[in-house]
Amino acid sequence: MSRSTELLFASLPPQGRDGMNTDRLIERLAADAHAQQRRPRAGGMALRLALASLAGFSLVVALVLLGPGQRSDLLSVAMSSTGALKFGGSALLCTLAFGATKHLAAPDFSPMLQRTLSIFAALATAMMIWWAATLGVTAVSMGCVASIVGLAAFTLPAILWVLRAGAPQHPGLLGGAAGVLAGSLAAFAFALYCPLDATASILPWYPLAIAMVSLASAGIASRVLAW
Amino acid sequence: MIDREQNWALLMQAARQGDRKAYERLLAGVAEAVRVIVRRRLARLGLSTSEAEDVVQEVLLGIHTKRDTWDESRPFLPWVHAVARHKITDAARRLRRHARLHVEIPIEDWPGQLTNPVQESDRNLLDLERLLARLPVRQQRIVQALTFEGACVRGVAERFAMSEGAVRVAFHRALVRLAAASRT
Repeated sequence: MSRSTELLFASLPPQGRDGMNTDRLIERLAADAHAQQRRPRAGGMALRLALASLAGFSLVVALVLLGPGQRSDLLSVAMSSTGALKFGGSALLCTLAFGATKHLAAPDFSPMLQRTLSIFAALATAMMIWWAATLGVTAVSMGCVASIVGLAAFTLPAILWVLRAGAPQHPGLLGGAAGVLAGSLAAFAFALYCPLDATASILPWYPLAIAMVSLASAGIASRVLAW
Repeated sequence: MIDREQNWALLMQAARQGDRKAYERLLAGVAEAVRVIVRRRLARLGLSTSEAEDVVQEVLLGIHTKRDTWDESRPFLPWVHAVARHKITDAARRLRRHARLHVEIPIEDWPGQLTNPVQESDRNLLDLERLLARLPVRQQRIVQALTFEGACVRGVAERFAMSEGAVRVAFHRALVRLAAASRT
């Protein structure tokens, strides 16, 4: 480029490949932000995530109650060790997954913590698969897994929908956490009906079903949550 | 004295309250800071810095579309840095892919473009000669022989005691350098 051409370009405002002037872009973005200000904001990510989770949970509980129906001895089961495993375990996982999902939706979540979460999730999934293979798959255990996964198909979409407003560094990891959230909500709802109380019918099948939902959600999210 | 991070955080908070000018000042400040980082990063990756402004604009768009993800109880700079890093990494990946595809110019196409520059002005021809002068001598001679003289690959190979494959490789490398030099 000749010296005169260099000087000419240096005197122009910075431009992108499509000729858009960056200063002009800034003006447009400011105008857009100002226009959006007039519309009421839908609340932060935590609130939206909570509402989406609640909506999905309400739906699957309705499906269970209107479908096979709740157990007749639900109250006594809930107070037992079986209840602690089914309901307490699902609720605990749901709470942890909610927190992880909320934080992973922000771009400045600690990279080290993200790596730790990924490793932990991979190890937990591998352990569940190994355990299931050791015990041997039966029609009953597969029925349990399929039911939870099927119910999660109703809890997951709303959660992924609100997460589109997030800015995750790793969309797949966020999707995995969202899958654990959706899966544990589904597992809780399923437990309202599930007639099996033996520990071997709960573990590893409940966690395995949740892991499967998590994997599927990670795959979907790596596409739909990319930004 | 308020440092830059505090200043930007205050501007973003004001923008959330509807202060349009504050938002413009914030974006302008971020653009200025990111521009330096982007140029440095592209140069380090061996990519053309002519794409830098495009990347800066993508960072600004990312900040704009995801501004609601900043939690005001957390520091502002790590948030901006995370958004910028994500966008710059995406852009660098895309530019590397583009550079790999972009240099796959069939050798048969090139001589016709250079010797029949009916669409190009005399200024462009002069610029091209200056660009050629920046190539290593051997590459200059190969390009001149194949294009301006219209020699065939075999003839050039015999002239320079090279294999035909080596001539093609040298010509390909010369094109890559010319393409990069023309964008700076």
